[in-house]
Amino acid sequence: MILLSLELQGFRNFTSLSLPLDSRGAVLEAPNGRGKTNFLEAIHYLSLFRSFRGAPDSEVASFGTRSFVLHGELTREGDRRTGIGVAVDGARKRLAVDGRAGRPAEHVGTALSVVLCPEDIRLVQGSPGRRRRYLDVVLALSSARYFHALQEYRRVLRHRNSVLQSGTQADVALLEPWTEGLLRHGAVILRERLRFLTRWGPRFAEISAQLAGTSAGALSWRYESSSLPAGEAVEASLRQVVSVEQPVSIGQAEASGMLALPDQDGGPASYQPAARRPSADFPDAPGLDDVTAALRAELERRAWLERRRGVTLVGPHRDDLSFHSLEPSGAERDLRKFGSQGEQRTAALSLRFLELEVLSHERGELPVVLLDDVFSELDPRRSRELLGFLAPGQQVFLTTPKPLALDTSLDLPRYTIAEGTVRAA
Amino acid sequence: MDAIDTLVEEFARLPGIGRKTAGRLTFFLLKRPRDEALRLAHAIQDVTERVVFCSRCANVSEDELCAICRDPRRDPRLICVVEEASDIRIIERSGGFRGLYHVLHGRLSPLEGRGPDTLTLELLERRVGEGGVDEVILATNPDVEGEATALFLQRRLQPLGVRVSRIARGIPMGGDIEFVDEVTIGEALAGRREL
Ligand SMILES: [Zn+2]
Repeated sequence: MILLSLELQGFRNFTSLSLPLDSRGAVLEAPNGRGKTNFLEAIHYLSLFRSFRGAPDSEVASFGTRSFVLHGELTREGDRRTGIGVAVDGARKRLAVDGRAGRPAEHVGTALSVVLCPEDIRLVQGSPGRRRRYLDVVLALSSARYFHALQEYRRVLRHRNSVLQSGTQADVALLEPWTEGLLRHGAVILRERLRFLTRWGPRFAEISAQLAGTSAGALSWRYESSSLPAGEAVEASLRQVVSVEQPVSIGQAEASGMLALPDQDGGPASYQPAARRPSADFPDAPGLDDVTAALRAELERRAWLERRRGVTLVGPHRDDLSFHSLEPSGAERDLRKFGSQGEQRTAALSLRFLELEVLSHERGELPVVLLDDVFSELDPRRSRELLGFLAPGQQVFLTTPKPLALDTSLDLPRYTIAEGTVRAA
Repeated sequence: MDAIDTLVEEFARLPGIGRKTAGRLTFFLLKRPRDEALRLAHAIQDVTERVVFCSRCANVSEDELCAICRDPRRDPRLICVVEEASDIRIIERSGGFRGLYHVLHGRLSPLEGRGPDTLTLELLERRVGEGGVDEVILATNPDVEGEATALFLQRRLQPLGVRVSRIARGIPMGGDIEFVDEVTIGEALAGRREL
């Protein structure tokens, strides 16, 4: 999609801003503290209707106020224009798409954008919640079924915890309906996550190897489940998927040109669209029944503990994702705890590239790319990789505190920000 | 508090009405002729004084038994359980159901402190326990709370030896009965599945 214009009122430091946008995007160049990130935050707000920085709406509203308005007009290939407006007033959030009121849940992802920022490193070194959120956002934007299950799951979870909080006295009959709801929606979430990780694991390995510049840099990921414990009596087929050891067949990938290292000018030559790859390249993920059974068994096993703690201890909301590098000795290293800054950054960047690729593939359109001061953290080679990953025609907004010294064909209009206004530089 | 504030306050308590709308309604009434505004007051008074709950199905009624329970052409062996009395009107409009109803007056929602004792569950169990009922159709909303309520009712009713079914297809997942058209409701009732 292409964002054609953006209007902001009372959004962070933008008291009132109305800006037509170039279909290529823009470079926003300004010293820190002028609100460059706020501008990207506003564009991304139109995708998920909340701040990508995790800020509550009260913080997004200009200082000393409680309300803000934003409106964006977008277009996609072969489609008419769509206007998305959001008006927040205190706790109230109203939404209009093409002038018709709607609920945020109906329009999440209507505008599609992906942010890359220095804080992404916390995807790897931060709390499990960040990694779950990554999976949830990518999957919810890819699949309506996942999104629905996720919303229902969160609601069930709150009800169930509420019942559990009445302590060991919690009536079994009162808990059961919520346990069943938890199973029903939790199993969908769990299975979709496992399918995603199985299917896209090879690409994650390829992308990370490409970023590292060596096939030895290929990373794998593994789903750490609260309900599908490794070493427990789980269905054999299930266990296979739970410990998704990526068979990183670097040799094969290299032979097929997928690990092609970038040529000197860092053009898009190294970009290998997922759409061209066969879709049958992931092994059968477990069925819904298997996942449900495993979840149920674990819920039963820990029922007494849940009562004592007064909280739901089993389910996709307690799971995590780990990233591993393979040592020459054959040992694996968990990058969450034992990765260097550089390795963690590569893993995080790989996750964002993958997000771009998955969304392009699943949605059949190119998300808007928002690059928040990412080049200051990357060496020139990885910077080139990043730019090489962008598809032709993809709209890119990037911020930088100082003029970019990039050897690139990226030709974007330049803007600067001062006193809450964006001007051509 | 003055009279205007009091009325604004009362309007604002109604579902879906914020303070702004409450103010608009209040000043709208102030500008109307006196007897026109009072008609609303009388209608509210009438409703609260005359409308009671049906002693059999807990539907709204002006008599001991509601119009549906009194209707001899209705099939008493079939009970359709709904969350709110307003749901009955919607199902009735579909014209596809000839049994009786039971209004729960809510649904399970632990977050809001709503447990089984806030529903008309005892009344329903008594009805079923008295015999003469073949099937109970659970038509609670197909969302998280409605599904949980349906499952809870199923567990309580099945031991009483009655067939329990759930309205099935037609109603979109996460949809609210209130917003589903009559044809869909009719289909949903016809395609119910046994639990
Ligand atoms: Zn009645």
